[in-house]
Amino acid sequence: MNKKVFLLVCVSLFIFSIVFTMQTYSYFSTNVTGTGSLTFASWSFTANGEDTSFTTDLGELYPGIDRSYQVRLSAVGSDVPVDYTVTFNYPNNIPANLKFYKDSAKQQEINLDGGTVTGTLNAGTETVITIYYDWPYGSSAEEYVPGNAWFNMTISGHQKDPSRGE
Amino acid sequence: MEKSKKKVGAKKTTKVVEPVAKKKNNQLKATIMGIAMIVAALGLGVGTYAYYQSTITGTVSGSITAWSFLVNEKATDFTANLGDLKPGVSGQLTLNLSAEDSGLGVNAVVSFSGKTNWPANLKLYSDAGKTSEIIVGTTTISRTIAAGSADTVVIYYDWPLGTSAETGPTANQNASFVVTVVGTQVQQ
Repeated sequence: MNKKVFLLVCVSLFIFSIVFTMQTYSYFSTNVTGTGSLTFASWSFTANGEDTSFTTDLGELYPGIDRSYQVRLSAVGSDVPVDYTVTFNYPNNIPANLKFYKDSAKQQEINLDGGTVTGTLNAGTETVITIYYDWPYGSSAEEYVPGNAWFNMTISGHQKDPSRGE
Repeated sequence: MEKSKKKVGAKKTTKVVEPVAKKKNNQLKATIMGIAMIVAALGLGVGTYAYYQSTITGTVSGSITAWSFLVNEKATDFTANLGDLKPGVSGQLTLNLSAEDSGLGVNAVVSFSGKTNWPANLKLYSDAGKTSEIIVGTTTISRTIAAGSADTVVIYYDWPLGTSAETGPTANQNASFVVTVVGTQVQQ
């Protein structure tokens, strides 16, 4: 019973001291409210204006054709720079002598089964990748392969690691 | 007696309550551990995917232009029978060159070879006026055929009667020569 009384007194004293202390400092305290806010950097990466998929039709293909096509990569609307990788894959029915190149001089051939083109886009900018293709005429007679030919370009845009600098 | 009964009752009550408290305690521990694991997993996930990324798939396609070249409706071999050959016979052999199903133009070159058992006075010509004789093994005839169209090459043959006496075979025998037609894609 005495213990209970003692405990009750202790609790009362504790509450009293807290209230008293708060009252003591209530005249000198100033409350300042700060609002901490943050904005997430925006992210945008598109290829030929699309963010999921696109198609490019090269039209008729035959020996003697020597052309190029372009892919527009855009980080316009992105607050962060973008490292991009274009991976060529899944070639289907591509004639053996129809070659694709990274350069107009046709020195850097692209392997359509895993070859890549890489680069970096600064935030808010865009670039155009030109792919050259050439099916030389006259080197030899070629077995005709009818139908459509195609391959995929998987374009991955990855936020540039800030620690790598410009 | 009553006092001892109360004590016994109290002991019994204590024994029943203790396992329930332990069970609740264990449940609480398990709950806390579960929440901690979920938080840890979420933290790990956020750390793994903490960058922006987009993947776009482009399909690049083209249509391989159709190629077709036929001679007398054949893509590889054909035969033409000129019938009975004898002095005084003349006629013509028509080669139908077709690029009608081709998306590309064709340069066609006709050449002649393999003359076998061919009478000396049976001549071949590339014109109806019989002024341009075909020399087997040497002469070629060329045509350029537009994509989707056809053309013909006519070969005229003539074995004049009465220029001189000629000894013929005692029995029928075949005479032949080979016509080779090569169709090459016109460079665009």
